Amino acid sequence: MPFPQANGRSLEAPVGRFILRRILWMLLVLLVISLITFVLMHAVPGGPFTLEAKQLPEQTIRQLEAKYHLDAPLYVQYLSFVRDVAVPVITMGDQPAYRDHEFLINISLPGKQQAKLRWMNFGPSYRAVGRTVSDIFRDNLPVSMRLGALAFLVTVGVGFPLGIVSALRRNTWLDYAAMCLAILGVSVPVIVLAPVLQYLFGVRLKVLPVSGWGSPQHLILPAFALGIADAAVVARLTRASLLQVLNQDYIRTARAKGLSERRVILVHALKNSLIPVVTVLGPMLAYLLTGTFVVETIFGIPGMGRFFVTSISGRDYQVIMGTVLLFAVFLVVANTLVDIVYVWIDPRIRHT
Amino acid sequence: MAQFEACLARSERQIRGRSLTTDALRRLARNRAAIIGGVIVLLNVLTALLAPVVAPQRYDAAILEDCNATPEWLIRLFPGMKPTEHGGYVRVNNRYPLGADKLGRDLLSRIVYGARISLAVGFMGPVISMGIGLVVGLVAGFQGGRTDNILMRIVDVMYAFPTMLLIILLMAVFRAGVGSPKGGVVIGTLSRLDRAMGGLLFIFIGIGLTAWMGAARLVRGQVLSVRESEYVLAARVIGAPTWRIVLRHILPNVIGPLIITETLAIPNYIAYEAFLSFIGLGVNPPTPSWGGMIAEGADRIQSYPNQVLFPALALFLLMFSFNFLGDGLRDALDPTLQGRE
Repeated sequence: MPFPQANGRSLEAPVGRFILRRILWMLLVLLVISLITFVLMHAVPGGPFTLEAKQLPEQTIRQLEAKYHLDAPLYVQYLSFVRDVAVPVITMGDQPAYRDHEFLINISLPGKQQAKLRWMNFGPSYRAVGRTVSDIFRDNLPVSMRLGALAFLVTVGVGFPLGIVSALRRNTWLDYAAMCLAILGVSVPVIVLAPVLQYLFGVRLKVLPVSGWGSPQHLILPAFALGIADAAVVARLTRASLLQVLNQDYIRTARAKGLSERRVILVHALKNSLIPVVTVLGPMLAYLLTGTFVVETIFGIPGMGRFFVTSISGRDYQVIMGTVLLFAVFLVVANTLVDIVYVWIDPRIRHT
Repeated sequence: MAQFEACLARSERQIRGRSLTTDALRRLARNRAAIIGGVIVLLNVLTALLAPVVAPQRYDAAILEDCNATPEWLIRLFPGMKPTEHGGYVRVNNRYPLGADKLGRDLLSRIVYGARISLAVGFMGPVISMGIGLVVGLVAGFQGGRTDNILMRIVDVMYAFPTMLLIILLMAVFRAGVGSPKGGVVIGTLSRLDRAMGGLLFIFIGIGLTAWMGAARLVRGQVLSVRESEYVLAARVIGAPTWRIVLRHILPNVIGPLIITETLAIPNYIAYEAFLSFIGLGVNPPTPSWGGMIAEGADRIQSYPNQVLFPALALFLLMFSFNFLGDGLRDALDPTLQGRE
């Protein structure tokens, strides 16, 4: 991507180095997060088979633990987890079917020997018998992602127009009404908004299903319950930022040279007012795509969120590690993207 | 001439009367939304403090025969709820102003007592995160160099940690540690304290440990901007010890913006607690928490909407008024920030 020129010299080289450094930092952050999670999770007393230990002979439990290498020293367990996730493997020839389940990414390579490039083995789930963490990701992550993406649409689709309109109609009843709505939206936590929406649209008006999953109608209430709070934040931020930009000298210049108001707003004001909004949109998207616990619980949606809480109480170590890492990746990538987009929108910003 | 003197006297009176604090208070008093928010918060605090007097019953007094009892006015309000006399399923009982829950406990009393939990978290959350943030930010900003670098990288990593997951993990560690014998003296004492507080202590710690990063960054930034100023230099020259410079010259500059951001964060802390109680990692039953009540009521929303809607309304009202109050406080203390996020 060609980056804008500043001071007559191309920014491409520094931006390249900047991106490289961000990616290295990203990997380090993920490593640290996985280590913290590992330590915390093993600080919880009991193991994945503590429940069974009361009914099964000790020998069996020991064999189970040996099978999953739970009897190895902790640092060995951690290092082998990192190795399994990070190091890609190339397998040759006919492999048992479970190999495909173990890895999140399986790519068939061209050639005769049935070579496959496999990457990211998050290990088995101890509690969901016969399933691997990669299976859980494959089955349940798309559900959370679809919900999160729709909620993000609500955030942007409601937040932007509300903020822009109230900035352009500043101090009119429209502005006051919009900002009142926004502060209302900010103060409503999901666990309040969700039951209220369920009651209004599901129980009282009977136009949408109260809970469940399957049809497109099932998506509407959860998406709004999830997206409204962020929409309010976006609306307030857009309004404040647009108002600030509209006071700038170059806007007066644009008006003075006779540009139409629409052109002034669309071309000169909006892009610059987007900068602060973009910074919050990134993490917002990451949280929406992943942080859907409450909504999933209330609406009975089979996404990722439900697994995390049950996996902790069940000491399902691999599921805990996998989920935290996955969510952290979303968050870190979103933040890094924001940093890069930031430089692209506003070339004045010097990265250090 | 007399007129002029009177005018002069008046302006002098005005000048004398306008210190920074009174100025801020005056601006706050003129902000109607903030006043309304403040009044509601105050009412909540009073209700929480006087809960044994205000609540008609004990929060844990369960009368099983009265489970799901509903007063008449609610049946009229929610048309779906049909009383038993008319072939419905709802047992009418006017003894409970907002109805009773599935164990026959008075909903109103539980909501009144629930205010205690939310307010305690709304108060202690900022205190803890401010405490940690102040120490980290002061050390990082004042020491500079490698210490600063390491501390700020820790902050960066904590920012990348999915907050919800971290809180859930921490709570699991704390809660499971309660019963275990290998906890040692510290954990043992903490667990006992936590049990005595109905599970609140670990919620404070959990929230505090995940919410200090913003405060730390803010404090560090303020310290950096003040550190090189002349009056700090002057203090250093006359030989003031570091702790005195920090306490007398740097802290006063830091504390204002910190209080503003923490006040604005109060609704978040309240929401965190409600969320934790919602998923069952919050306060220990039977201590009532609004989040826990919403969780209990959520799956009976079709038959008894009052059991989820009233706790939800209470939670919403408190967060709403804290938002208004925080906004007003920010505008009052720092008028240059007006309308900015």
